[in-house]
Amino acid sequence: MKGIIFTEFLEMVEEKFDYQMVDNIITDAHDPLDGAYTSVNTYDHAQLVNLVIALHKRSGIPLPDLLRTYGEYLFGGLAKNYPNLLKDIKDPFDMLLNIEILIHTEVRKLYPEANPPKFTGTRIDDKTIELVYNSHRSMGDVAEGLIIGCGKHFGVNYKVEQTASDNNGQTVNFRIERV
Amino acid sequence: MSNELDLLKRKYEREKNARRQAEKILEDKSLELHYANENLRQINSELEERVIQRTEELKKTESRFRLMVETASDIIYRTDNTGYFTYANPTALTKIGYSLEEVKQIRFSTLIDPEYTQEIQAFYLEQSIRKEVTSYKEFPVINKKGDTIWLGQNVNFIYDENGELEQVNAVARDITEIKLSETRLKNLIATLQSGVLLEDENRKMVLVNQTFCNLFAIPAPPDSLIGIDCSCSAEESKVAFIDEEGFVNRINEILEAKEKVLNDELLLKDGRIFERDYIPIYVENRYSGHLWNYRDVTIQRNQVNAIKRSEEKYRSIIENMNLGLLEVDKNEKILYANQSFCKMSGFELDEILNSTASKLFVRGENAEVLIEKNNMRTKGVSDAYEIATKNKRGEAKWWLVSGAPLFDQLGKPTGSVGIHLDITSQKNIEKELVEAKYQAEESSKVKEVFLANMSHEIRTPMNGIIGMARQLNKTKLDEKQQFHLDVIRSAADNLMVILNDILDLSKIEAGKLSIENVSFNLSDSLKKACDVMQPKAEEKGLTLTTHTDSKIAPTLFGDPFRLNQVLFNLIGNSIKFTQKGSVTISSELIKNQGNAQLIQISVTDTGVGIDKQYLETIFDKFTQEDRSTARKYGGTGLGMNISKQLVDLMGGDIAIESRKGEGTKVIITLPFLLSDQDISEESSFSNDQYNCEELKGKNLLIAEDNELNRLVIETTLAQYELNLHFATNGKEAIDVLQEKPIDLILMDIQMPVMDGIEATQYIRNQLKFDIPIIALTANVLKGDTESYIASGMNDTVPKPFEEREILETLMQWLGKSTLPKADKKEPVSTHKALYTLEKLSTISRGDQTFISKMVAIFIQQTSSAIEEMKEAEATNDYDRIRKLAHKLKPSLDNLQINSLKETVRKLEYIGEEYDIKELPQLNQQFYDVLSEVIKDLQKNYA
Repeated sequence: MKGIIFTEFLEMVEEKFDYQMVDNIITDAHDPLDGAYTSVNTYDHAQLVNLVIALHKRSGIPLPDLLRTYGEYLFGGLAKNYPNLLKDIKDPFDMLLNIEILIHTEVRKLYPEANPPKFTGTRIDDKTIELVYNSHRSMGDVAEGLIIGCGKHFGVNYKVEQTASDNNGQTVNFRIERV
Repeated sequence: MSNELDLLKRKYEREKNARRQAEKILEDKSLELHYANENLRQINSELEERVIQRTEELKKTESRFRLMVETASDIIYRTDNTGYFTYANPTALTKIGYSLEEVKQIRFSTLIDPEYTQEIQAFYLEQSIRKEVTSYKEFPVINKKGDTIWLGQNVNFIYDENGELEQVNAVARDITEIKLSETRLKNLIATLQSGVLLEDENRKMVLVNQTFCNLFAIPAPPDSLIGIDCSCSAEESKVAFIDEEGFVNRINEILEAKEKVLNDELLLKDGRIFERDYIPIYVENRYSGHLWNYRDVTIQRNQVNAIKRSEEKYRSIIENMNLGLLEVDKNEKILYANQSFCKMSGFELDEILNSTASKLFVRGENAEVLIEKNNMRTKGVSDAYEIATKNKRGEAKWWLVSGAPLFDQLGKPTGSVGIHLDITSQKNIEKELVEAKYQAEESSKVKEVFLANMSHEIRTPMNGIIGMARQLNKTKLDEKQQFHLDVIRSAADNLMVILNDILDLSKIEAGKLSIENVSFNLSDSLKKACDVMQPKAEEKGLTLTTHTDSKIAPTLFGDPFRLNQVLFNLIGNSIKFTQKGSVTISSELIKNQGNAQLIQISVTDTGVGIDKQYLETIFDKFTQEDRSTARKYGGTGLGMNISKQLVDLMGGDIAIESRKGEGTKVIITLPFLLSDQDISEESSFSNDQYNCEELKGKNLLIAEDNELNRLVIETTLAQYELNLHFATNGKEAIDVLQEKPIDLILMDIQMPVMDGIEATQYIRNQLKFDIPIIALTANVLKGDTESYIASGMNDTVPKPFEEREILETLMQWLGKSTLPKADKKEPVSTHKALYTLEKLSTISRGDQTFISKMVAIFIQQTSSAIEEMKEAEATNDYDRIRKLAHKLKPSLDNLQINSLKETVRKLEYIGEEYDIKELPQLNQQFYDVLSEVIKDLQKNYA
C-alpha cells in the first residue's frame, strides 16, 4: 500500500483529534516503523489496519464510520496532491466510471508496482450509476468514503449505497444515485 | 509539558525518519532515471543513424520508383482528394495530350467520356464512402485531341491518420485496342451462325452466344448463363436427341479424352441435324477449358441428300435408259458413254474412251457432218439430226441424235452431250413406206386414167343411143315403131342408170367423187326431183307429193345435184315397189345448230315393203331382196349403196323403216350450212322447146372425133338454126377457125392428132382468139375442169349432155348479156359485191383449188389487159380497145363483176355505137374497178 494512504490517515487523525492520538495509536498498534511514513514509499497494508483498529479502540467510533470518514478525507488529500488527474473532469460520474483509465493508469505510470483497487462502473441511467469495488484488502468502506468525497469535491449531491457485498468484502457493489 | 515535548520529539523523529526514507527513494529513482537517460540517448543516436540510412535508401528507392513511374508505359498519376491532378507521368501526359502544367489545372473527371462520367464518378464515390483502398475499373476517356482512349484503371485511395481521403494514386493501362478486339470478338461470337459454348476447366460456363441458346432452346439470355455449372447440361439437353444415352455418353467420352473432335453428327428428334466440334484449350500445356461449337446443318444435309438422291436418280436413268448417252469434250474426245450407247455402237466403254467420235462411228461425209455439229455445240447451239453410222461390226445403222452443249460454271462451252436412238428399223420402214406410197399413187393414177377412159368409152356410145333415140322419138312413128322405140329408150335409160351407178361407185371408191357446196333452195330441189319422177309415178297411177317444213331456211349450202341423185334413187325405188297408193317426199327441220340446220328428208311409200331380213343388208352392194327382184324390177342392186355413200359423203345419215306389205320409209338426215346468198331463179327452161332466138345464125365449131357424138350434137342442135361446122380433131379445128368466122367452139377433150386442151392453148396463145370454147367432156373428175379452164376454156358441158344444159351454156356464151329480153330470163345476179366467185364455184362444183387457179389466171390476164388498154388509149387504137373489152368480157362475167357490165359493153362498141368522148371516163372506171378487184383477190384468194 502506497505511503500516501498512511500519511493521509495520520494527518487526518492529527487534524480530527490531535497529535497525541496519533502517538497513542502508533504505540497501541505496535507500529514497526514507529509511524515514520513517507508518501512516496510502499508499506504493508496490514499496518494500516492495525492503526485503524487502534483508533477505533481509542475513539469508540465504529470501524465502518471511521473508514468512511477516512475515505472522504483521503479523496480531498489525493485531489490536493494530484490536481492534474482531476483537472479535466467536470462530473463525478465521469470520474467514477473511469477510475481505472483516468486515475489508476496514471498511478501505475509513476509507481509501476502499485496495486490499487479495481473499480468497474456501469451507468444505469442519467442519474444512477453502479460501481463495483474489487480489492483483496476489502476496504469497501474506504471506497464508499472516497465516493462521497468525490461528490463533495465536485459539488454534486448524490447518495451512495452499498447494495451487495461479497467475498469477505473483497467485492462490494455501490449504487450511486443523484439527488 | 515533558509529555508534550516527548510527543514533539517523537513526531520530529518520525518526520526525520520519513524524510530519510523519501530521500533514499529519491536518490534511487534519480540513479534509475540517469541510467534510463543514458539508454535513451544511446538508442536515440542509433535511431538517428538508422533514420539517415533509411532515408538514403528511401531516396534511392524513390528515385528508382520515380524512374519506373516516369518511364512506365502505363499511365500513372496522382490527384488530390478533390480530383485535381497533382502528378502525371510522361505516358499519362502523352496519352491525355496535356502538359504537366495544364493537367494540374484540371480534374481527372473532366477527361472521362461524358457518357460514362456519371457511372465512374459514382463508382469512385462509393469507394471513398466504403473507405476501400483499391479498385479496378474500365472506362473511356477523351484526350485533348478528342480521341477516345479506353483505360483499365487501378486506383488507390490514400487516407490520412484521421481516415480522411488525402490523395488518390492511379495506374491505368491503355486498353483501347483490347477493348476494340473485345468488342469485335463479342460481336463476332454473338453473330456467329454456330452456337459457341466456352467452359473453363471446372466446366463452368465462360462464354456462350445467342445462337447456342437458340439451338438448344434455352430461354435465358447468354450473359445470364456465365458462370453456371455445365456438368449436368448434357443430361438436361439429351431429351432433344434421338439417341439420348448416346448423346450423353459421347460427351463424356470426349471430355475424358480431351482431344479435338470435329464434325460429330447429331440427330434430333424434331428432324434437325447438328454438327459439333470439341476443341480443348491448353494454356502452357495446362488444360484450361474447352470450346463446344454446334452448327445446325439440317438444310445443308437435306440439300446434300437431295442432291445425292437426285444424282443417283439421274445416274440410274442415264445408265438404264434405252437411249445411248455420249459425252464428248470440245474436241470430240469421248469422255463418257452409257451402257446403251455401247450396245448400240458395238463398242465397249474402254475401247472408245478418249477417242474422237467422228472417227469412230461414221465414214466419209458423215464425219464432216459430225464435225460441223461439234462446231455448233462449241457455239452453244443444240439440235437434233439423223445420221448414217456403222457399228463396230461394220453394220450400217441409222441414228437419231439429239445434241446439246455443256457449259462450265462461267458459261463457256466445255463439250457436249448427245442422246442417241437407233432408228435403223424405222428408217427401213420409212423407205418401204415411201416405196409403197409411190406404188399406191402410181396404181391410183392408173386407176384414175382407166376410170376416165372407161367413163368416156362407155358414155360415148350410150350418148349416141340415147340421143338418137330421143331424136327419133320426135319424128312421126307408127305404133309398132313407137313401141320398139320405147323399149329401146327404156332399155337404154336403164343401162344408163346402171352405167352411171357403176361409174359413180367407182368414182366414190376411188375417192374421186366430190361434193359441191352451192347455195340452193331445198324446197325447189325437192320439187324438181318430183317433177322429174312425176311421169313415172303417173304411169303407175301413184300420187307423188312433196311437203317442205317452213322452218327450213330458204337458202342452204350443199350439193343439190347429189341430193337429188339420192332422191331419184329413193323415189325411183318407191315408185318401183309401189303398186297403188302414194309416194311422199317430206322435209323437216330437226335442229338449228348455230349457222347450220339439221334437216330430215323422208321418202315414204305405200308399197310392198321390205322384209326384215333384207333390211339388214339393204345398203350392201349388189344386194336385192331376192334373186327374183332383179328380174321383176330391174336394177343393179347398187342404188342403195351409192345413196348411202353419197349421204355419208354429205355428212349425213340414212335409215330405213319398213314392214312387209305395209310400205317403206327411207329417212335421210343431213346437216346444211345456212347460206345468205339470195338465189335467184335459175333460168328455167321448163319446156322441151327452148326459145333461143339469139342462137339463130350463130356459127358453131364442133371439135369431136367421134362420129356418133357429132351426129348427136348435130341432131340436137339442128332445130335451133345454128350454123354448125365440124372438125374431127384439134388441128382441124384450128384450121377451120382460121378460115371461117366462128362464134363459139364446142371442144371435145380426147381427140387424136391434137387434143382439146392443146388446141385451146394454141387458139388462145398463138391465135390469140378469145372466142368462147366450151369443153365437151365425159370426164368430170376432180381436177379436170380446172385443167380445162386453165388451158383457156371458158366452160364445160358434161357428156352425155342434156339438151337443156347445152342450150343454156350456148345462151350464156353467145347471148348478149346486159339487155334483158322479154322471154328469156338471164341469170340476174343480185349480189351487190364488187365480184363474186360463185360462178367459178358452180362451174368447178366447189373445187377450191380450181377457184384459186382461176383467180390467179384472172389476175394475170386482167393486169396485162389493163396495160394493153392503157397503151391502146394512148395511141388511140380504138379497135384494139374494142377487142380487149370483148376478150375480157367472159372473165368479168365469170367473176360477175357487174359494175363493169355497162362499161365493158360500151368499150366493146366504142367509136361505133358509143362516142370516143366517153373513152377516158370509161377507161378510168375500167382501171379503177379492176384494180380494186385484183387487189381484193390478191388479198383474199392469192
